[in-house]
Amino acid sequence: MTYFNMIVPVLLAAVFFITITSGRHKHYHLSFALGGVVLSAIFILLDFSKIVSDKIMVYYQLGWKPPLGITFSVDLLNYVVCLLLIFVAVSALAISRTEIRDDKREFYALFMLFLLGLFGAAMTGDIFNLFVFFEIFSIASYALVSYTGRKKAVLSSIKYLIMGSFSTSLILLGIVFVYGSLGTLNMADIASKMALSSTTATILGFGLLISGFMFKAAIAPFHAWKPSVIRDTPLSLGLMFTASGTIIGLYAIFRLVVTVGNLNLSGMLIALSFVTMVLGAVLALQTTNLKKLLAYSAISQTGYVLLAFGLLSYAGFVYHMINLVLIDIILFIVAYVVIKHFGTSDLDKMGGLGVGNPVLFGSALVAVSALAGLPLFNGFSSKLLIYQAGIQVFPIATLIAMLVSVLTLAYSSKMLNMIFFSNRKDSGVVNIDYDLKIIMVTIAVFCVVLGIFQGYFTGLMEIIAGSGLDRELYIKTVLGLI
Amino acid sequence: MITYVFSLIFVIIGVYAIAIKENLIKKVIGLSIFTTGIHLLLISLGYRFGGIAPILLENMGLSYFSTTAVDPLPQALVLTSIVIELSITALALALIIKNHKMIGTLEAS
Amino acid sequence: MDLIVKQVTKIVFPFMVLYGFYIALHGHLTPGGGFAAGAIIGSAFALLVIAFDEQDVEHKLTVHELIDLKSVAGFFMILIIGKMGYSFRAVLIESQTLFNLWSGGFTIIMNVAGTFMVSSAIVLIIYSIEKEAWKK
Repeated sequence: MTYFNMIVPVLLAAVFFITITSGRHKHYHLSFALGGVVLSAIFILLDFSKIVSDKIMVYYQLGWKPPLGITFSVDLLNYVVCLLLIFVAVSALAISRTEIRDDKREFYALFMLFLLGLFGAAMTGDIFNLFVFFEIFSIASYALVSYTGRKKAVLSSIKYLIMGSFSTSLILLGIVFVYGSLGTLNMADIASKMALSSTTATILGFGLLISGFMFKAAIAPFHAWKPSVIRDTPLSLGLMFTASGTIIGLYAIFRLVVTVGNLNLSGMLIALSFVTMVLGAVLALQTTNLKKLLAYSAISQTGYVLLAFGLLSYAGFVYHMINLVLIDIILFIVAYVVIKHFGTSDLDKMGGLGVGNPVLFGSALVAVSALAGLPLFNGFSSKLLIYQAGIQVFPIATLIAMLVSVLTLAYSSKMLNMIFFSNRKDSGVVNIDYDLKIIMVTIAVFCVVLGIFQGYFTGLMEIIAGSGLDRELYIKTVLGLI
Repeated sequence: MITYVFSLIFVIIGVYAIAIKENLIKKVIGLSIFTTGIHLLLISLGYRFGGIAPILLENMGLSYFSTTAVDPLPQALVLTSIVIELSITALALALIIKNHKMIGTLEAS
Repeated sequence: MDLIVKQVTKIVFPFMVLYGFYIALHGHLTPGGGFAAGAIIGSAFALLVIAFDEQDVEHKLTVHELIDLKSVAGFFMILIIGKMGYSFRAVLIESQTLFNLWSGGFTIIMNVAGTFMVSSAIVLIIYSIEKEAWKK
């Protein structure tokens, strides 16, 4: 008996109840949304003992076995991605509680559809189903970008829609090539047929699929949408875009390249990660808008995750992905509180919060230290894995990663300085809601714990990444050969 | 084979319209043409000249069925994809109407 | 719209809806099915929405109530039938008397439920866009 297959119906039910509740009952919408997320979290946690004992959980939709039916398959890697999605969703809902004032019904209905698409994409074992879930969360996100109704938001929503649906069409084209050459859509079935009957068309299909996922993860040639979208959306959505959109894109790339395709794309991934890291860090240095700075910083960190992938340091890949999400949650909560206090996202007009706000300053300091990769914080542990892998495989990669780390320190300390010190004396005490405070402090503690017990967590990440690497077990379990 | 050529032409026209045209409505039309090209490619994968409907009747040999029946899966996939494309087009047009009301232009810049 | 369009719409509309239901009920025998039928019925309502003015549609059709009703009904139908289809999925593919109207097992009920969903979605889309245009 598995429970994870109940997540998508539960989230759909939440969407349904939010939609039929009339706009007058304002506090119900958030309750339904939170209820859906909490139920999903319970379902995920109920499966914990099973995932530990079985390594892979499989659910056949309507009982049809692959390759005929649609399969949901969750191994340790998906499991961790689902847990991260719940963290992000709870934090985004906590931010949205005070941020979203009107049109709550539309916002939360679309928000839960967004989350449904993310969860489905994280759990499915069928590439066409993956495409459908990508489209579900993409369409919800296009509508959510224009949610504020400002001129700039609507225009950037249209641009994001055209670019985004072009990229998801590329995913469809990739599926056409894979299906045409292998005759199946199930991931495990593709993986088993890959060694024998893959042709040039299959590789082309995989290339198209990966480029589509790279758009969602905002990796270098496809990163241009992210800063303008983050600038124009509420911060709760910005958190969903930067944290969960990125990890889903990265997860899909990992699943397709490593587990399904067993392809060697190191050269291409390393080259793209260099461009992403450097570009993100340099652009983050020169911007003075806090929201855009966070977007560029997330792009740069995505480059690190991709570099770990290219250097075949899969433990570093998972470790840095987790760190990216944790750091983003803290930074976005800090940004929300600060932007609400000053009424602007322009860094030049901020300053002087360092005196009377120990909790805010402490959390921001932890996040920034982790971002820059200072020792004793989680960012250091994962970057160390990347550096070590780089020295063994490709030393120039380590050099560039360290250089970007210095740039990261520069822009993050610039951000810290401009928010908390700058030239102003004292900007008073910021009023932080208790829920945001609890989340911020908890995640900051996580960051420190992940950094201090580095050896233990490195072993854990190797186990998690190893479950994605074990192709034989994946194929046999999903196809039901055991 | 002629359908492959046509789908390639559709895809090229679609990419041209998305990349070059400044008018937002034309961009959306280009997106639609691009997706249609992919649909045509997908549906022609399962097509078989002179094929029969994929229903296995009692007096039909399995080898005859497997050599003459068309592949039903691409049709289901295209149907799903058409629905998705419809919703994207509807959303895009709604946003363009809203944008037109605010700014008074259909240009992208 | 002018008089000709309005009169033609009045004449054609019931036949379009009827044809849509024909496609839905014969979806397992002839080309078509729930989606195509929903599109036909939806386009019939779209024709109404386009041909008539705001006050006509608001008074005589009350499209919003219609849509709410249809969406909720379709949702529950799909939910119940999906559950039934899971329990009796052998019935779905079991061969009964071929080319008979009642030969498809649960397919026919699924088609009708799909018709409700698709037509309500299409009417909702067209109506929302058209309402924006009426506002000017």
